[in-house]
Amino acid sequence: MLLRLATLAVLGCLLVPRVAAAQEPVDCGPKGDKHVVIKHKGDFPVPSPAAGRAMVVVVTGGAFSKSYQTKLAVNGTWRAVMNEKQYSFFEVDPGPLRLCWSQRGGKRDDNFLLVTARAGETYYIRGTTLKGISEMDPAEGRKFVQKKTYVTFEVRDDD
Amino acid sequence: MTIDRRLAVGLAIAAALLCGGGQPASGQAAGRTWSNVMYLGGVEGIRGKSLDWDNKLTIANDKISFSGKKITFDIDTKAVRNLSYRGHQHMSDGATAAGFAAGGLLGAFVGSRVKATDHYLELEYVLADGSPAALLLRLHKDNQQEIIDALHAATGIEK
Repeated sequence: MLLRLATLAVLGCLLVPRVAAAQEPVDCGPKGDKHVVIKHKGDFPVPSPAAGRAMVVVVTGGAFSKSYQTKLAVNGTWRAVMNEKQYSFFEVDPGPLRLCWSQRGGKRDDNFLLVTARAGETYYIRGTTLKGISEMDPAEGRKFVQKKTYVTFEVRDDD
Repeated sequence: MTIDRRLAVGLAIAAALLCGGGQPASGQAAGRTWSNVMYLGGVEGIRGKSLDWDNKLTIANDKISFSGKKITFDIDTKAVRNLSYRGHQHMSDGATAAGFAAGGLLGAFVGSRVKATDHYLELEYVLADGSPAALLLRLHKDNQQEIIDALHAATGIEK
């Protein structure tokens, strides 16, 4: 009897979703979306943002474990998908950027960040497995991007 | 010193103490301070987050002040345009562990039914040039309602 109860308890813990009400502090991208990372050979220096826009550079690095796919959402939309030691960049409109870093480790709060973007500025965001996302000093960010592989992504259509 | 004179001096001291020694007479104008607040970014020109509870948030009629080990900022209450609360409900890891310690697997199962809520508050505000900005705070369960009430009162934003 006790064994049955214990088995039920374990099954219950495994089957019931861990998060009861998933109202995250910052919206991530759609959960079901699957992506393919596309590597680009050669040098891809970060360009200046277009007039009236800001640039976001995301760079991964710092994990000592297997490289899993990580994603960055801005204001609820996936904008970068990458693996370890890769970087990507994209333009955004100025204003509040609500960043959500989707990956397998780290404490929850490490994976959320707000940045208020100004036109003409470039923001370097570093993402790691253990420490989530943080904004880097631009000079440090420019250095960090070197020796990393530039990537973009596509939505994977499984149908 | 006559009794009248002593009385006058006593009254003067009492008045000085009550009025805060030249500070604004209103207690709200001087502000109220809470500890146990985290900062998850967003203030323009300030890089980084403050993800320990050892920070202080002071809300006065004229400004909202955050003070941590590395991060300090003030926001004019008149600049705040919106307050957005999000509660993230999830399984309590502490209750699960305590349940396991007390009653093994069955205890862990019972403990896993206990839910904890993380409280987040986003302040949308405008910069000096009128452009939009936002910052994100995580509040403690013991202070979240008081802080939210105080922010509504200080900013004049209706609930």
